[in-house]
Amino acid sequence: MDRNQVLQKVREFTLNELLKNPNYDLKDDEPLFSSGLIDSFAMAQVGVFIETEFNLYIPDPELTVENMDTINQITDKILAELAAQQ
Amino acid sequence: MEYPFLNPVESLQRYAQESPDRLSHMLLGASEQENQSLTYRQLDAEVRKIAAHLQSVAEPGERALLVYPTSLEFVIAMYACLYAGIIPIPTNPPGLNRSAQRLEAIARDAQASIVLTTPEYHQAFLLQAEQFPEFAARKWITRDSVQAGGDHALLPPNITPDTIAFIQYTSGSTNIPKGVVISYRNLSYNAHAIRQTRRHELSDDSVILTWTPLFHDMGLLTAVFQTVIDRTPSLMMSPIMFMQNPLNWLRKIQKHRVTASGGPNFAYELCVRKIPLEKCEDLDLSSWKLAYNSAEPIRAETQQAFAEKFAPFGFRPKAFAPCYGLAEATLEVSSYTNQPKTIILRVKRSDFEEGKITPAGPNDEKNTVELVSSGAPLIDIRVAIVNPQTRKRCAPNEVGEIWLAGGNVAEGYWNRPEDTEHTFRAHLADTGEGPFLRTGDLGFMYDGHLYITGRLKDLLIVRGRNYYPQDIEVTVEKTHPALRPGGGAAFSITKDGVEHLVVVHETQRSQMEGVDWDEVIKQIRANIARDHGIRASAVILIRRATVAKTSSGKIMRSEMKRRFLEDELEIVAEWRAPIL
Repeated sequence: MDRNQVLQKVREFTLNELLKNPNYDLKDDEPLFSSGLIDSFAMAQVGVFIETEFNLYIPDPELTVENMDTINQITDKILAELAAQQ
Repeated sequence: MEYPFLNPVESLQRYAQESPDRLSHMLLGASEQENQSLTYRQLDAEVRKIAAHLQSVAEPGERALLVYPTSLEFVIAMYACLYAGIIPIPTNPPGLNRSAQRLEAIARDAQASIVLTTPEYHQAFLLQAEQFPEFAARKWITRDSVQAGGDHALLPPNITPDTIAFIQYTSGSTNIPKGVVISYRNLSYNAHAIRQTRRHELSDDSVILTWTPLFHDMGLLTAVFQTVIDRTPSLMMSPIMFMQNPLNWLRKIQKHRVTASGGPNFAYELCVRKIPLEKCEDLDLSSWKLAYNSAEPIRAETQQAFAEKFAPFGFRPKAFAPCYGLAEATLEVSSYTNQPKTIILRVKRSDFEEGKITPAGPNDEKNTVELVSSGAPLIDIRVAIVNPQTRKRCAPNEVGEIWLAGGNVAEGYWNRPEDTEHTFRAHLADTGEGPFLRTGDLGFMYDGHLYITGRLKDLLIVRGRNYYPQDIEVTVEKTHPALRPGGGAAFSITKDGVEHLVVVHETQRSQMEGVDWDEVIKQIRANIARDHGIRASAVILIRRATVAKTSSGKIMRSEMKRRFLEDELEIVAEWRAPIL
């Protein structure tokens, strides 16, 4: 899976499940949590999304706003974990 | 305020004189021909026979185990003990093929010298005599042995408010069972509390129908005591008849023009889910004035769905009476009734998880928890909301442990001075106010009403946030119809010093064809994360009817946790995070 495919999946999930607004003009570098766009509650949803969609488990200490604030960051985290698995 | 002393023994003896032919109790059979009934005169006469026999074999104050299914015999045996000055202990009768181990444990704890039961149970227990020699050696009394016993004169018992009326063994916990000692004072105050709940319903035409087990506080206090004190005919049906088909309950209400009947929330839920509308054609629930809902968390949506479904058949939403109570307070603590809608408080979820109550504003839509009122404390019951660690009163907007004082608070646990001191004689650390009963339930008062939010020992604390297991269990069961309502347990386990959420849920066989369980589990995980902001570290779906419940239907979360840790669950499908 290349980076763009992963990014598209993360984007779709963020727009549909977290923002509940498929038409929102979300930038790849736009802060999600630190900006208050999404509450920190939704971090658990990001975790479960990564578990079910990519079969990866991100432990709680790594599932933080610092690591996962933009769809770029989330994508890179997924790619890093996928690479580590191989 | 002073309340007149209500004594069920005095009531029964009086009504046997004043209204001898009025119906006292009726056991409902599957068909009307199978009904069995007793008038006050007949009940009093039957009771005297057994009571006289009891006095001939035992001293006042001795304890007797009562082992009966829902039956007139049970009612007779209860009053026979009271007439004779013997302390009755109602018990959950095990199946005839089951071990007598739990009964034996209760008999030992209560030092019971007598076992009152049916000839059938007696026969079944005789087969286990070798295994439980001590239990088998007690004085066994059945209706057959009494008839053989001949005539003895009955001496009137000396009943004061301080006299012990009965001992109620609390159901279920994995610990050794504890017996709650209920005095006649407790009975009297509880009867006044129930009268307060019944005020819209209580009249000469009242009829109460009970199907919840009679060995449990709700069934016992309602069907055996309140009805006699209030001179209300007491109709009884077995819990099995309800479980086989909840429509049986509603049909009996219709047939006998029942005015008061109730059950735990799941009973109403079952009626909503299991009764097909086409079977309701001529259903008429217009006699039903009081529908109490107690013994487990009350759900507004259940009451609403029930009201919507059965209003066309004459059910009045105002009949609902959500109640809160516990055996340690005899039965009833708070309730409300005669309201057009369930009273709900919407609070901010983020504050609630930190134990704070802040009413939600119009912009908090996504950040809201709905809580259902358990009503105002009844009669003179005093409620204190207390921080269980500091033992000081909480601020008015804080969740704390519910502490109670009042005439219905029981005397203590039988023969357990330390447990009694801890649970029944608590004092506030700063003011010394007390004694209070520690209920172990969490909640708060708002606008004069009590709201229950969970059990102290069941509260899940994960990364400093409070989660209520019942909330998570509801989220899980709503995910898919193949998950049995009320069949879940959410709890936390510690792994490498970190708390993890685990959910276990029952599947139901009727819905299992072609279900993709892995997909259901994914959905469960997503829903928990969405609704609660926490990830489950394990989701385990288990075979139907394998979740552990107390005899009153409460989920035994600690037992399910033990089975999880010891790999004793009967698993249908599961997912575990790699860290577990």
